[in-house]
Amino acid sequence: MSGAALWAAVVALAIGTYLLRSLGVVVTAGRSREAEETAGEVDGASAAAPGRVATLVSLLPVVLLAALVAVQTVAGEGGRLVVDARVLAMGAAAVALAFRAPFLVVMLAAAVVAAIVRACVPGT
Amino acid sequence: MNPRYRTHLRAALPIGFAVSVIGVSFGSLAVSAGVPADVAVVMSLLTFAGGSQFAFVGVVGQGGSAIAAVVAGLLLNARYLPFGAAIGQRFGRGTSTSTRVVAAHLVIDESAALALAQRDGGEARIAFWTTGLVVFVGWNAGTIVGVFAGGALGDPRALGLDAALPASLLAMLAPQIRSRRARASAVAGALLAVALVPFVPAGVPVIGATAAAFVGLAFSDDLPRAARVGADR
Repeated sequence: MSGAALWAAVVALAIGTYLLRSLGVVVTAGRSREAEETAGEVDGASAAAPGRVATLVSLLPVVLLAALVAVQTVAGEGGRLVVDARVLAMGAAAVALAFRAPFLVVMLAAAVVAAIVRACVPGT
Repeated sequence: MNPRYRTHLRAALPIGFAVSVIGVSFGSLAVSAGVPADVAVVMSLLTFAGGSQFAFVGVVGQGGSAIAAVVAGLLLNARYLPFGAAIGQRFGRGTSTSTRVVAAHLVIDESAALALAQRDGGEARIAFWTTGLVVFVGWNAGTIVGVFAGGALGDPRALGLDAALPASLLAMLAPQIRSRRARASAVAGALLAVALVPFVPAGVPVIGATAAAFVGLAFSDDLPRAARVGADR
């Protein structure tokens, strides 16, 4: 990707992200107290738009995060699927999460396991 | 300092620290993916959304197109629309439109979670601003350290930093998959994304995987609402 294309992409992502954020925050200016109180009792997505669409929107972060985790764990160069140190690292992270380890510990567990595996088995 | 602010600051500082460490790894990974230092720093300032920035840099690093990088990032940030609406409602009438225009940039998972956990609108405002600003400073300071000193850390792969990133996403995911509906959607999304990897350009598998949200409609949301609010970090 050229420098100009990269800058254009960065600006596009920034503008798009700001629009997504500001729409909800700014449009709700002047809402009633009643709406304010209900908002505290339901989660973000259903407060904005109830129904099937809201369910889909509320599942979007879950699906996207799961997809990202999976792709970043097994995707290699040029669209190949590879099983390497990252898979064991994710296992370590999952174990840390099962023990309710804090966020930083989960990241560290994955990094340390990946680093050890790579030091022991070259090419992973 | 006003004790109300102190309470919220105490909750926000460890989050800010964790985010700054992720910021360091973002900076160093961006540079190793071929994104220039100045682009990475400006990106953290203007986009201020870790997940989408990692996705963006990941697509660039794998040789994907600019459009694929932007779309992957924006899809990941689509959740800010409902988050923003919920936060805007908690703000109430006391918050002017001009304040909201600034506040919008600080809408992130952490500020949303802490603000929406407050029962009182005033407390929600304080929690939102405190968390948002602390995380903003941490993320951008971390990015700057990462792009300039990240190289001194050595190869991010040898340090396992590339595995720390999906691990951080997994840690964000874990509290959100307590209901059967969410778990089913997550599994479907992961499988669909992996299945797409060999057939479509980098960045597209994650976008295609959003179709997996429909799988969730077939499952019940078997979790009480109260527990779900608590689960939303």
